Amino acid sequence: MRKTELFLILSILPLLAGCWDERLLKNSRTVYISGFDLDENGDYQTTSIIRDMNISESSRGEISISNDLVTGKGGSIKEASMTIDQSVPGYYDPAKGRTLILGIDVAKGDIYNVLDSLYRDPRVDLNAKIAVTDNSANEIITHISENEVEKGEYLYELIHSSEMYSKMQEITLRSIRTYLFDEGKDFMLPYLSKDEEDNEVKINGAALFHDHSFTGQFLSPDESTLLLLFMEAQSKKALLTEQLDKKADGSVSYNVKSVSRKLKLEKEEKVHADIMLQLDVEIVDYPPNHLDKQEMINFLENRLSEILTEKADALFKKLAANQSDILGLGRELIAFHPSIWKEIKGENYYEHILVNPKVKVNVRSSGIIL
Amino acid sequence: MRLKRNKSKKSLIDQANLSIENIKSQLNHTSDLKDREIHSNNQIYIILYINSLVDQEKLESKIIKPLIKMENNNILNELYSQEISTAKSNKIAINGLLDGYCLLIKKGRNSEGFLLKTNASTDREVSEPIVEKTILGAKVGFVESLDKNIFLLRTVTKSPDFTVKKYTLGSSTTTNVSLIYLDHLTDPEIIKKVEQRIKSITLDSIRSAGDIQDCIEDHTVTPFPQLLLTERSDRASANLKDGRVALIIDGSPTVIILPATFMTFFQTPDDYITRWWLGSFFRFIRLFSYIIALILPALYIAFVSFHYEAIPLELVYSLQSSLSYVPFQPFIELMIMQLSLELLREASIRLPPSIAATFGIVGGLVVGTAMVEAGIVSYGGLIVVALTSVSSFVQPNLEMSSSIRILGFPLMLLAATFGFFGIVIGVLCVLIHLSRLTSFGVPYFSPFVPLNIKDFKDTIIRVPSWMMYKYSKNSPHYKQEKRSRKWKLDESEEPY
Repeated sequence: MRKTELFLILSILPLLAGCWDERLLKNSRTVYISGFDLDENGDYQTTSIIRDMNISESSRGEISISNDLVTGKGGSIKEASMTIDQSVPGYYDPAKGRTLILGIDVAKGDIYNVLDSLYRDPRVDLNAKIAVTDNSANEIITHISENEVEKGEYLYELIHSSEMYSKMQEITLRSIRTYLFDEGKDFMLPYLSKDEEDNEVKINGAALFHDHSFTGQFLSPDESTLLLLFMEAQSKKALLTEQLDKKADGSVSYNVKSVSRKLKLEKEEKVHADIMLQLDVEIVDYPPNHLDKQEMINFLENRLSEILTEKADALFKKLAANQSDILGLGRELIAFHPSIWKEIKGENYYEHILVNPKVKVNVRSSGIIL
Repeated sequence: MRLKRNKSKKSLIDQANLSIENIKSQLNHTSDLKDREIHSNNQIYIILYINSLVDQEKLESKIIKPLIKMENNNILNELYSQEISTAKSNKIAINGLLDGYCLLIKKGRNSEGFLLKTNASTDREVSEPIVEKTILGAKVGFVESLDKNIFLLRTVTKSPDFTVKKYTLGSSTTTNVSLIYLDHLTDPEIIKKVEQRIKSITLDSIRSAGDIQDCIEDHTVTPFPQLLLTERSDRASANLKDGRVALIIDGSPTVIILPATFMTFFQTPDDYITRWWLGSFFRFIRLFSYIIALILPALYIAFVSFHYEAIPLELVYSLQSSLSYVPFQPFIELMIMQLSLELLREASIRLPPSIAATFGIVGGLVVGTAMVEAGIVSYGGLIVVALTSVSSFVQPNLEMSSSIRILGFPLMLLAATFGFFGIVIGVLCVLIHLSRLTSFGVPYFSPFVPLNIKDFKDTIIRVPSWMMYKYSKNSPHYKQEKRSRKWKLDESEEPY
């Protein structure tokens, strides 16, 4: 008797796990890229590309790719998806989308409104990249669906490669959530725009965020690399070029090999953050040469330190103007100086912080020639 | 009626006195039962034999001729037969006759007879077995004769500890079975168990090794074989040297090796002939392919019907493109493919080799491609099924690879109902089942459950032979000397 009971329980248990809702791959319409916009009435508009691969019956397995552009409107993102679902055969499935584009209107509002439905779906690819565009997401996606047919995951690769070269902060759907709900930390997202001349979508810089919304300002790729160095969050490659003189041939390109940062936080009238950044660099391009001489190295080190300190000053002024604490100084205060944090905390805590950056460059290597 | 007759027959066999008339009636006056009277030295001898079982030449030259020329009455000194035993009852005499012996009876003294070995043998040439091919290694396979098989084993296992025990099994037709082991290496507990189990076999007749396997294995309700069947003498010998027991059945080239654990089925003689790196690599490949063959179809089903978000985007598109023409569920699709493959496999066994090649092309290539083009299966499904069957062919043991076939279908069904969750349940059940199995008291999933890292040296990997100086826990009595590479020490001490 006990055995029968046990057998019954064991055979019913798997059914309780609720994992048996079949979703056949052949019936699904897999989204390849999605974008979100906000229209004048406050409705969300979702634009997606559904990609189809067709094996032609006649020419023996030759594969042709077609993009299907779909849009839908609704009061929430989910409702917009449902509108799309009604217009496509099969299930509309946004889970596989690896790039999400936020239109400028959406980005300027609370972006969590858009992301919420994604987090509630267990199947969503959490490694999806998020980008902001200077216009509507619809425009960018329409452009991609018409022009980048053969290029696979064009936008994903575009963002990924700029992360590899330390041009962008590495942010995915998963990591952005911690920034969104961290009171002492902000983030930046790739800022896309359509280049009319080249007829291409390009990354223009890094869009600065404050709290949940886009500030309207963006950093140039060089500025954002410098900021990443200050965050000690650079990738394996961080290539920078500086003009030493006004002369045309006075440029030097260098790759930052390693970074060490010293941060001192002190409360006076304002909170002073003294950041001392030591960069070990490798010279990769310097036509004037003579890097075998110590004077030359010293000259380069001094000049670069000067230029970078200047640039860093400008950079932090820009951040302060936008109240965008990408460096995470607030988090630093919460962790190590809770008494100071208690005095300044609030939505605009960053106005109480004065950053005083200093950069010291050490030339460690000059490639395989001297 | 029949029962009664049997009973009366039995009582006659058991009769103590040896009587030619009785023996003849026991054997139903079969026409190949011959007798011959010989008058020699004023004595009448009767030779009784079954014509079809004895070697005529032997009988004439070694028994009849010396008997006729005999000058005194001492039979034992005059006959050239290599084996002479006395038969005191009808039963012994009949068993002897059936084994090919001839019965020599002095007329007038019915109580005693001699059984003389005159049996004919129909040994075929020793050849390499078809199923267990190796690249290197001995090309010697067992044959259908018990004595020759023992001979084959002994020649590669020379040891005073080589022990043979004979049993006669079957109550209506008898079969001789030999139990062989190396006394100093084998766990006496196991020998005791084997003997006990063999003695308890009360089958009417033994058809093949399978009958004995059915009777003596620990668990019958399992897809996993607990006895290793082999036709290779080097494999059997290597297993004897590992402290296992061999059972040879007369008339069958298949030798039973026991106790076999899960990992025994992944070892081949090739592993020990090639260098140990290569041997370990092959072992690893075999284990890996076992897992692949077991779960790949299930994984495919789970991927395309539940969890396609877990595969790369590019693959999603290409799978989807050929799947969208298939009218069936992925499970049905794979079942069609698997079943047609099973058909091909079963059909090709009985085909002559000359047709088999054509059959392979028509069956495999043409049907496969046509099925995809007709939209019955997808490219993905075809690849999965092909990979699975290739992986299952990697298995060195036929029975072990059939266990994949049996376990694969329930796993596919589970994957089709519950996705990954089902696969996890299924694999867990298999693992739990494996851990509970025993083979003659030895844990079947042995170096893993119970965990014994020291025994890994000849399971997942094969370490060099000089490192295997300790035998496993189950045969603790013996240790190999540790000095095979002592020369290295000696050489380095030599002054230049």
